[in-house]
Amino acid sequence: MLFSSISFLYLFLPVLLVYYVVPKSWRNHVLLIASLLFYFVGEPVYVTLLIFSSLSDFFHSLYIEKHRGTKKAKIALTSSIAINLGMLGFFKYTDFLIGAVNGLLGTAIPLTGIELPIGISFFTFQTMSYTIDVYRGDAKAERNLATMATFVCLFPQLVAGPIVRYLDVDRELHQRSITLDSLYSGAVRFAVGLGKKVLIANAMGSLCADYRAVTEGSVAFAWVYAAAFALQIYFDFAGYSDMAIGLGRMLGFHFPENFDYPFISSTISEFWRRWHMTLGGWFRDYLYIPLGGNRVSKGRWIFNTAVVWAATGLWHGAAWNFLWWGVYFGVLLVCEKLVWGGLLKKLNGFWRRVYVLPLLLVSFAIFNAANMQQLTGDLKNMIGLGGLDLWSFETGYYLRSYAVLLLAAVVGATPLPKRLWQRFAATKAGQAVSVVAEPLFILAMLLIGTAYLVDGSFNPFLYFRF
Amino acid sequence: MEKLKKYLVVAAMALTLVGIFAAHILLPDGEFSSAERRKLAQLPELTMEDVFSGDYFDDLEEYLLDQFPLRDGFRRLKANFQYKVLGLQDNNDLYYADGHLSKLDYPLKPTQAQLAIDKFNAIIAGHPQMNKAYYSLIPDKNYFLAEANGYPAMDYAALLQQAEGIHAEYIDIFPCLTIDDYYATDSHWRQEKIGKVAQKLAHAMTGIIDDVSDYTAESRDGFRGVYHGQSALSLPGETMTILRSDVTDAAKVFSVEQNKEIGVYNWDDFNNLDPYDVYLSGAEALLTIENPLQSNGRHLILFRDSFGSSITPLLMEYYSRITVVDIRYMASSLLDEYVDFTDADVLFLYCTSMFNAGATLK
Repeated sequence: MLFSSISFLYLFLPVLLVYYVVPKSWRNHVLLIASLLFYFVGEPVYVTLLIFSSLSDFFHSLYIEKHRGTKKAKIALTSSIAINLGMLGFFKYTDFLIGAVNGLLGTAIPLTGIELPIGISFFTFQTMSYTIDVYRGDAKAERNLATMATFVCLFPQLVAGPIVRYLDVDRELHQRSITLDSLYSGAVRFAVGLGKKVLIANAMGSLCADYRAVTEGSVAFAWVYAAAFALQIYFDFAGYSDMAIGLGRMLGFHFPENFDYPFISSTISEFWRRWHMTLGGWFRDYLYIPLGGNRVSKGRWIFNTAVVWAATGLWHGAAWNFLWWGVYFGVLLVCEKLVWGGLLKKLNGFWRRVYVLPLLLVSFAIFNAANMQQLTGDLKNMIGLGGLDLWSFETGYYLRSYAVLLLAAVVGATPLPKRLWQRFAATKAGQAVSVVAEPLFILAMLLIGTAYLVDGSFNPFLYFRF
Repeated sequence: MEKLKKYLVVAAMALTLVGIFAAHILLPDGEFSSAERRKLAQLPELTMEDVFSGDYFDDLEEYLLDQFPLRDGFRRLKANFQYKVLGLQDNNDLYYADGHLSKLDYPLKPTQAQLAIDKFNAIIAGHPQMNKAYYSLIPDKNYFLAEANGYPAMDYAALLQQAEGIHAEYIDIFPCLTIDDYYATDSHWRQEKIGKVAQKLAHAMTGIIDDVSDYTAESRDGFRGVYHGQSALSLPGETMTILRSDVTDAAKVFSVEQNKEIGVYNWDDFNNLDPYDVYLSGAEALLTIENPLQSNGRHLILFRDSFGSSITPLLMEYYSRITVVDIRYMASSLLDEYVDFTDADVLFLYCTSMFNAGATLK
């Protein structure tokens, strides 16, 4: 089920209000049932995977805790990780590997056509972090199966993050309070996320589709396309994270933040501290540091970086362009540390951003390519080797048409609007205005967002495919 | 004050979600949308097969969307927000310029146009017994509106050049038309404005230049064209006019598809999903029209799209017989069973949009 769907907003959520009237001891059960139903709507068959994953990690973690410090715990941890990675590998990477083998050896092994279960990359990473934390002694094994299953299946972050670790919500899974503040901040966050998704991300997606459809492309349009896609994926994913965090707050949870205005970064390494923060944190804590992190020789550090960024790329999708996307960032990060990091430090903030933004736009052109041919075609178009004119009539039309939205998206991707509003709201006049303005803003986001959904516009969630 | 704001925010969200949920349950479901000219989805039947295939939930979402309370109002809100707040130039490819709604139709698709050309040429080559073949293209509204208002448009010059591949004489009606000859909320031309087009076509085919009937105009208000509902904008209704004469009153129109006689004009069809059906009952695969007031024995076979419905009555006076063929609804391989080409003038009259979608011709 999509957050930005009529069935979620005006059927699922109103029915879920029952959560607030049942006794507190029933709330996890209500959440669990609601979450399974939420997943069942999108994946009627694969919901069994979710149940299996909950059961597997529940029993594995109990066993690990019972035998902590022994070889048995290590074997159980290995078993748990193997099951999770096995599920992920089987459903996500089988056909990719078959394709790679066929391409490499010239064989004709038929593809399986296995469909990717929605959100499998997210929930397998969440459950792996849980068993690893139990193994490390950082978390206690959950003894209540319903509570454990509620953690695994929790619908707000189930299918597209943020990647919530058990430690993030351990206390709230057992005892949480819902206050006026949490309801208020959750409602605002949810409405902002809906607006980001429906008003900006979907429109940027339409602009990207227009780029693919035009007959008279241009070098300028290739860059506009890369910028539009970067903004689409940011507002799509950050919008979803906002909605998830907002829903979490309304339900009494505090999920970790996932984005911190990544496009204002002045280095690539800073970008990755601001973009998909929960995934970056996961790879840091469960892969990079166990590999030795940066407290190793230069050669080993480059190897560690290569492993982490190849994994980051492939986590996003089982295709070569995602692998190259990860490698691209790995190379940039190594270069920032070993080659031009010193030079960057001498530049002021403006020039550092002039350095970062084109590199990011190129990265998103790689990310969104449907195949290697499209990838090379898009990159050639961007650097003027695609045989296109610098400008075309259609480029002008689409730029004019999307000018307001592009401007709103660019400004909205910086902290400026939030800072201005907070500064104004802190004044006496601002306090008075916000009493009316904030409820009206919520209403406007809900109603305008609904209007876009009712009119049946373009509405995919990009991160579902990961 | 801070607490009041928080209460208001939470209440705004809760009341919106619950209010619309309640309205969805309480309001009766509609059968069809007159604005969008289509049937609305109904509550899907719950079966295990559909539930486990996921089809049920897709159908349920479609049902909830179609039966959404104040659906047309929400569509209007989106359209206005799109145009007036976000400044987007089009909404679902529809744009509003110079008082007209139009739909972006570009680029020129040479392969599609070639399909149309090949189809026409095959018909011409297959019927050498005809008198002479002609073709004419009707400019769609984008010809007048698009480039002039900064919208992308198909390359009309290239289209006309490609159309020279039709083995027939071209009758150029582009100079006879302006944007004012079209409905503001529809793609079609207005019958009362195309007398000069009919004269030009008739003159080219028959040589007659001055034998024009007197017409009596008959009008109805409240015409809302196909773009009106699609755009969801609040635009005023228009006046639809039909032109009557002794010829149109006396003509006998026979629908082969319906196997019965129909009227040249049918005001009853004004309330159809497409009010343009008033002219010759709209989409008809094959019509034969006898004009008892014309004894010259001439026969016109008109291959046409929907634009042909309104101009045919204006061509009647020049011919004793007109056969109106729509090969979007009738395979051209069946022509010999139903149409006698002997000594007939043959006219291929199509809008440029239709020509640019040649695959729809059978």
